[in-house]
Amino acid sequence: MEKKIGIVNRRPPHGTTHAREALDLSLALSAFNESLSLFFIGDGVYQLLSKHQADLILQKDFQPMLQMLELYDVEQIYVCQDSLSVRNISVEQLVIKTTLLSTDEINLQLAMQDQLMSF
Amino acid sequence: MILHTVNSSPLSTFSLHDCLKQLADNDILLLMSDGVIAASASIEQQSTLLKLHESQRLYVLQDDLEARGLVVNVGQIIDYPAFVNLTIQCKSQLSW
Amino acid sequence: MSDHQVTKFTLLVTGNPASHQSASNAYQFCSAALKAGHKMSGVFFYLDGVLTASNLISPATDEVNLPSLWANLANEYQFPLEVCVSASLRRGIVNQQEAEQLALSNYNLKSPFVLSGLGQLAELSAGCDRLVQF
Repeated sequence: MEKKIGIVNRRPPHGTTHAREALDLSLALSAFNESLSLFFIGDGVYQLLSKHQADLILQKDFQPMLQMLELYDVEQIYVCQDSLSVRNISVEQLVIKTTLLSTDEINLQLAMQDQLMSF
Repeated sequence: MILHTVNSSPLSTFSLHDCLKQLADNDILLLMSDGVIAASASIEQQSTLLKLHESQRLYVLQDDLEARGLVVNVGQIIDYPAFVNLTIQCKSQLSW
Repeated sequence: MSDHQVTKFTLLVTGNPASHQSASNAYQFCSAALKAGHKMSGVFFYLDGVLTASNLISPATDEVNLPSLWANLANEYQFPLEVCVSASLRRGIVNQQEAEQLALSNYNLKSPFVLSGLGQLAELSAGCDRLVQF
């Protein structure tokens, strides 16, 4: 049976390339694995906040690539509700459709994964 | 059962803080690299770490501890072969 | 070691070998796993971890040369050192083929490291019992 892989995004965008390269990796893995789940927790939720202007700081705007996730059939995209609340972000401000989960619900999903990669 | 590995100091980053939020009931925590500071210093999360230690779910990587001249207040010290065994014993590993 | 289960590992290495201890942690873990009789499906280098594959890394004589340690271990135990090509090119790690294609004057990929796509990580992930990230 295909392994369940979870990609955990926990860093803010742009300060380091972790967010962008994790997205590259997620899109690439989705071509080989149909059981891919993406998690956005902690500062990782900032990756999904709309109205990025990455070109102002000479960084690549990766948000259009987030839209590709849907085309690649990556549907399990989980966002930590608590992480959003602490950062005064509402779900309407996110650039892609996601599933909001509590910390405990995220733990349940993480436990189901066979492999985890964290960025 | 997830093996969580924390490799940065709890006094400079939120990795341990965030990790402990996602640590489920049977999960195991291994402190390594600068993460070993959590086993030695007096920190906010000390009581949580003590509980983990009492249920034999807190480990500290020996080489990383001794390289920094630290001693543990909490946690069981393990070497690399035991670290390897922990990754086998757990279903997956999550690096913080 | 017939009485113990052999585990097939894939390691994902993302730390800069010159500035981040996680690169050494990965090597020490790999070495311990192999000595315990386990197998390495492969080690995949990503993010700043790809810098490990440069044959121009020249630490002072009293410092550890991590790329050489990896190369020796991979040669001894015969497992692949896969380096993500896109992460490599943006960090200046290039093999002969890429150098010719991109009209670059030099290439610097250390043997036995090989440039591969992220599809190779998918393959390593599918073929191993445990994936461990550093």
